[in-house]
Amino acid sequence: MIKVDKVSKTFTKNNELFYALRDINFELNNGEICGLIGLNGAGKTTLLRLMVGVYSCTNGLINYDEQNIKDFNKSHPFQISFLSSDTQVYQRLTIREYLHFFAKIKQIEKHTFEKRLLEYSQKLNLESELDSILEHTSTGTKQKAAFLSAVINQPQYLILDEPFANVDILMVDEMLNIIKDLQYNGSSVIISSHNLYEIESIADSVLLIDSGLIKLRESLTLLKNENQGNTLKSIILELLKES
Amino acid sequence: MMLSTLFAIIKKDLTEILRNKRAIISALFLPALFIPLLVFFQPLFDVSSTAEIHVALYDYTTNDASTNFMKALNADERFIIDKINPLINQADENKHDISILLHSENTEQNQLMIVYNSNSLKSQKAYEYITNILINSEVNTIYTTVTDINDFEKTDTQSNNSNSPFKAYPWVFLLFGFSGAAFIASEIVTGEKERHTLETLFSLQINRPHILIAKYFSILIFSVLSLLFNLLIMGLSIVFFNTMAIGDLLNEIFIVVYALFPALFLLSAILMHISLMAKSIHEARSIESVFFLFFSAIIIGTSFIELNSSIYLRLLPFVNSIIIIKEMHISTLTAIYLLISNFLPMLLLLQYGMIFITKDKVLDIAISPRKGRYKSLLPLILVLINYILFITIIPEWAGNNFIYRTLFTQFAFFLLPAILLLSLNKRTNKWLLFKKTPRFTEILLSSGFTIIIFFAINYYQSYFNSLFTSNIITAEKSLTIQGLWQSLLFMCLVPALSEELFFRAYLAEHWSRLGDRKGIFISAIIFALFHQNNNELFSLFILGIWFAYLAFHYRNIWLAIIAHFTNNLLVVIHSHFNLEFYKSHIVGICSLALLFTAVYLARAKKNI
Repeated sequence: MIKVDKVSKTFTKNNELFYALRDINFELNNGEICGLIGLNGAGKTTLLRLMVGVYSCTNGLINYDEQNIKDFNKSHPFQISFLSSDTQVYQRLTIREYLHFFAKIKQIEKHTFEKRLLEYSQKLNLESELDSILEHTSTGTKQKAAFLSAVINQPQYLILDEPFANVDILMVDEMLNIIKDLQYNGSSVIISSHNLYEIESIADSVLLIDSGLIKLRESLTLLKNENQGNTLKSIILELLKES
Repeated sequence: MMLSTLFAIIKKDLTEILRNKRAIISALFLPALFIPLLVFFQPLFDVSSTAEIHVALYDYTTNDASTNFMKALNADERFIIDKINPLINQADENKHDISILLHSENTEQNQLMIVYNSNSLKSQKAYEYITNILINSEVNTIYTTVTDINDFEKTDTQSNNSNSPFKAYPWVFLLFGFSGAAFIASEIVTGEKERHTLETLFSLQINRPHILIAKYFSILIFSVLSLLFNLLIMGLSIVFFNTMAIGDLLNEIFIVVYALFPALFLLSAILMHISLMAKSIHEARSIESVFFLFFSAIIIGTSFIELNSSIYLRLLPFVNSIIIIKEMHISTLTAIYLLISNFLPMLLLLQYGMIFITKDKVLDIAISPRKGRYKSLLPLILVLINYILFITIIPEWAGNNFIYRTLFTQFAFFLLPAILLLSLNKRTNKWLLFKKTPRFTEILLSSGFTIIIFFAINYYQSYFNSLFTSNIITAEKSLTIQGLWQSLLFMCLVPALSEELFFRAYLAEHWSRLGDRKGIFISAIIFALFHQNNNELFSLFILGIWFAYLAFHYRNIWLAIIAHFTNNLLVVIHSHFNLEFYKSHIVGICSLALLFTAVYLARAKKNI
């Protein structure tokens, strides 16, 4: 379970302090998939960076299973996986080398790695491209490789920032299947995306952030019931228009 | 766990580097092409090996025992032998490179006396050739006396042996090592920031200083490999062109490795640090190219100029390494200097980097347009060419005639390029600095403050120079000043105008797209370097900052020109009338105090 408790984050811009996030509170249960929604500059990326420990919080606490990030990483190494937005992979490695690099850092045993590599590359239709250098592959292939580097060790917590950018609809479906498999194994997932259709098809709950504040935190089924079966898109649009 | 992560990152970086064509070209192919050429052409630059050698021969022999020697001497086409009979003529010091006296005590054995001049490279070479002939031709001599003509005048002449390519071009290794390493440093550190992959590494909760160390080792390994490769190429070309014995060669290679390895440790740390701080690859390369310039100026300067290896110079990183290679001498003391000058700053840099990498702002990126990346290097290349020309060709061509010098440098290097580059520049606000007419108070303020700075700087400079009395002569004094009006024109007006146009109106403005402060800073560094006066670097840097500050603060280049003119005017007046006001402690301390107060007040005002 992830518990985000009164988290704030400030930055200084032109010698002025401003809040990127202010008093963020929410919980994420095990096996839950949460869709993170917000306009550009709302603070989504900052929140995700805070949650994986790339940034440190100005105020507040983030706990994984009642432990702070550092302790959790010590007791459960590499169980938090992160895919940053706009990730450009290591251009001069082949896909196999690229994934092997992460497998090595995440200390996955060799035969497990080979098995998963085969499995995932079949699912994502990457088999023929495994030994081509990433620089010469398409943007979608790079995004798939980056996605695989995050899920290859089947982490307990998966945090994805814009994973579906530049990927075609067929592959998005396969990626969603992989995420669902992980959920079935008990992983919690946070996905930030501008594409509400994907969120709607996979998420159990949504989290809407607007200018650093939580606007909405509700389970998707409840939200739909309240709004008489409207699409997520129209619900969110209405909410944002109100403010 | 830590080691396997380190190795994984290093292995990944090196794989990436080896597939990077541009890195390979700059670090391996260029030296492989350039170094053999250098070794091949080196004898051509070596005056003594091709020119004829004039020998003055005093032959008092009455036997035939020396015939072999004479035959060998005659057979060698390099030697032109003038037989001297002291009763009729004399050896001419200007004409003859070496004198040989053959004398026989009895009919069997000869006595041989050689007089040469250790200050002349040609004479030294002649001496080496003659001793070779002597050994090969089996002359029976009781004893050979060798006398250095300078010994009659002074005692402390240094004997300077063979001029090997290692000694002649020690900078080659550092420069090539640098350019390759700089390229990959910006690629594997800043590139990782720019591509957001550093963020992914951080999210894996690898200890961040470990990432830093892994990156540092990747750069270090690459620079060491490229050094070894360069050495290999030079060794092979020497063997191929057969200019040195294998034993000497190995010995010299060992000394080069001994001197440069610690320098590479520091170099890699500096590169990694710049790349870590930079917000985009473009920025990293810009700053690295400025550093490259500074660095190459130092090491090429050290290579060309004869240095007394004083303790201060020994403590400068890189300079000490070059001195060791030039001396071809290993000692405990030099090892200690190497350790202090290289590893201490390296550790400090790494320490600071480890603190910096744990902060949030390490991930800040600001991707700048890739356009014009190479154009920004143009002024830097100009500076480098100027620097090399200045220490090699110009002094001989212009001699001490300062009008020639001024005209050549000011017009060719500053005024013309400035006008050319400014008119080629496509930025809309490039003439912005020229538009305002300065107000009277501004003129008064800028020239008045320049006077204070002049006295403060020269007070510091006279103290600094007193540390180096023996081996530094200031540039101003070596010029022959020919009357006040000429000085005013050629030392005050022309330099003020053309240098301001180039350094401030073009260069500082050009670099100010990285921010005003960076523009001022970079232009000041280049301004200081341009003057080819290593002991006044700091003073010139301060002046450069002041002029650029004036130009930017008031957005007015004329003020900077006026300030520059004021400063040069003070220099001319002081040297023309032999004044030494700045040496007085009262003037010096007052001006320093005024300077600091003014800076303090300016900062306080800014804060309000």
